[in-house]
Amino acid sequence: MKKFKITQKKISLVIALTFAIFIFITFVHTAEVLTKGKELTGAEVYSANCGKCHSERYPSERTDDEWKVIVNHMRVIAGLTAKEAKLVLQYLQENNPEE
Amino acid sequence: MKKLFRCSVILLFIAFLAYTPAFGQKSKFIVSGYLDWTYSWQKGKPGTFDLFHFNPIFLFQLEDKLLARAEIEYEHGGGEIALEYAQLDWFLHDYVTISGGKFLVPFGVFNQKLHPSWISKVPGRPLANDQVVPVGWSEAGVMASGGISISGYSKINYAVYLVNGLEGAEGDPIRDLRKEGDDRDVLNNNKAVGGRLGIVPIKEIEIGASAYTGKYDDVPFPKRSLNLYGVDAEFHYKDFLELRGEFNQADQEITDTLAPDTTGFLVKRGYYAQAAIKLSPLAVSQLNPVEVVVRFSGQDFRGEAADKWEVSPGVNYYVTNTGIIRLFYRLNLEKEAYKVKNNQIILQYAMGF
Repeated sequence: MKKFKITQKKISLVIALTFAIFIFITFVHTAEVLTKGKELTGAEVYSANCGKCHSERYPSERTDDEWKVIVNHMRVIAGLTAKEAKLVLQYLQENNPEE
Repeated sequence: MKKLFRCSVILLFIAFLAYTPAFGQKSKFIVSGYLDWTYSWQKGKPGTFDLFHFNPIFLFQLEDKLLARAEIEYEHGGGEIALEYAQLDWFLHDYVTISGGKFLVPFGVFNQKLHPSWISKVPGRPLANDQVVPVGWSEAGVMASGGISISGYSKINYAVYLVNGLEGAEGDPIRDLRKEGDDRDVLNNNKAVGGRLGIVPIKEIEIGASAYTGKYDDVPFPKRSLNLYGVDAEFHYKDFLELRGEFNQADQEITDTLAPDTTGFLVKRGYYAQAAIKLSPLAVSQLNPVEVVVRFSGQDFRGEAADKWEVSPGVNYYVTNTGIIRLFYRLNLEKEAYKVKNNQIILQYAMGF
């Protein structure tokens, strides 16, 4: 029977990484509030993120409910923010001629 | 037979999740996936058809903030069947998602995002993502990931994870350390941590850095380290030009054969660069669906025998937005003393659904 062995060094590394992420999020969130950049449209967010990896998927390919499931999964895969995912979903649903 | 049984159980479980009233009332369920078949010619060998992938992907939305997904891989016409990944994702915060289960390791971008055949623009994986980063690489563990907008198009995305480590004998090829199908995910005494940080300074560019550290040998003592480092970069101009590349290095600790009390590192490096340009800007309707692609990749290991390079020029023809016919010539190069006549012509049809 093999023993599970999590060393002190690894635990320290995970804690340090977690801490670094929270510091980082705080820093970036502050920067986001201070910079107040241009608000992007759903079409712009879609074009900038989805097309980086795969060819265009047409809004008519899925129902509005199906797009909701797909976009939420793509939020995880592509590292989208909640706001970006919301804008992309809105763009796909508003341009879906089937609905 | 054992694998077939496992996959049948998984499919039954997925069907159960999709159709039981307890989940059915709130959950949404979609089947997606991809497939590809290939015909390849290699000098001195007969041409061969291969239904390389038929990989259905099951997507669930269990609750507003809770997702589940799984991919079953049927490779080579069903000759290899396995669970590529199965994971739960929980939106903890706008910027943080917690994932658990067995997931694709976010090392670089090829393994997690680009490896499906309808997305990858060239048939087969580049050498940097074969023996250095062992694509497709999925591990059981836990992960935090997300994206953070800075301003306009500028953003950052990240992933950090704690997973079961790779396992095998000293100096084994890294690809073999995945030991698919054995008990590595059940009895694992090597844990590994890693992460990737990606920065999008402007819309057209993303730069990323990845790291992974853990032990890999399967004896209790002494434990040998495996450290991976990587950088990746991509550039997109409008929707017709794409440049991307990755550099990955593995430092694999082994016993020094000349001084058994000490250890050294096998250093393994891999890299690739890829350019793809669509001909749609020429405004010739017959050329609109055509994309010209070239990929160069290489691996540089200790000793010349394993060093090799690949140059793959070719053409993609988009029959639909997710269905592509590809024709590529793959030039395989080795050091002079180890030359092999193994260049290939590859015809492939890949489709996402």
